[in-house]
Amino acid sequence: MPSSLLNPNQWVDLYSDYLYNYTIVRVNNHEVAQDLISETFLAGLKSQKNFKGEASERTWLISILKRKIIDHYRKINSTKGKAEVRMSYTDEDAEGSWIEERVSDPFDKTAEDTMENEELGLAILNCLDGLNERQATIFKMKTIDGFDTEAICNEFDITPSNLWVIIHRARNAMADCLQTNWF
Amino acid sequence: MLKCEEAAHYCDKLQYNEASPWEKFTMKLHHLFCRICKEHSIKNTKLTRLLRRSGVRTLSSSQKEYLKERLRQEMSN
Repeated sequence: MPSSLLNPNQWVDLYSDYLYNYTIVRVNNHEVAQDLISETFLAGLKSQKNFKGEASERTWLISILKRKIIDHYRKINSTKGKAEVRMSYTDEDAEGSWIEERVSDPFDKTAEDTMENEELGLAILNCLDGLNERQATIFKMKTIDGFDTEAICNEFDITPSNLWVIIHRARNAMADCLQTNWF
Repeated sequence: MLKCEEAAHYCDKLQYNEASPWEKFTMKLHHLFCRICKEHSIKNTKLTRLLRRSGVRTLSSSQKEYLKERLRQEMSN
């Protein structure tokens, strides 16, 4: 895809949620995540001519975002003067295998869970891409953002019955998509 | 007896804790006789669990507007 087919006007609507979920699990700070996404879009805009069309627009933006995240951590570490490595071995006199004890560390399990949940989150956002724009927006508002029925009906000027029909179709499509890609 | 369409509607409402106890009861009763609706309900509940577990989040419309504005400014320069 030549760079002329990039559409920066659509980037926020199409990719910001995906990029946000990708970033937040890595930086764990909303403000930082938002800044990094903003910087990514601006960098994408400046380097449009480098887009060769070998990957999708989203993959290309993710590759820029990855570099931004790495730069962010480099900046933090250079501010601190050194990388922070935290290791604690609770009892110096303890006998037994250090490695085995590390393997059963409950925090390792948490890290795995976090990774799996992140992948799940991105799979969900991929499936959301398969819905039409209105359906996806309404589904997100109701299911992810927790807006109540009345607020969504007012926003889109629809009746509660219409809303539930849209939600029903969206849920079926999401379940089918995740059945193929996740279950 | 509840129709399948109504059972599916109550099932959707239940995913958002918006089904009344009566709706929940009639839906469960329907599931005793309708295997297809019961399977649909299991799938629907599984989707809810996955959505919760993922912790997926979205940017608010004002945050998206801020991003769009920054992009617009950059494009106009």
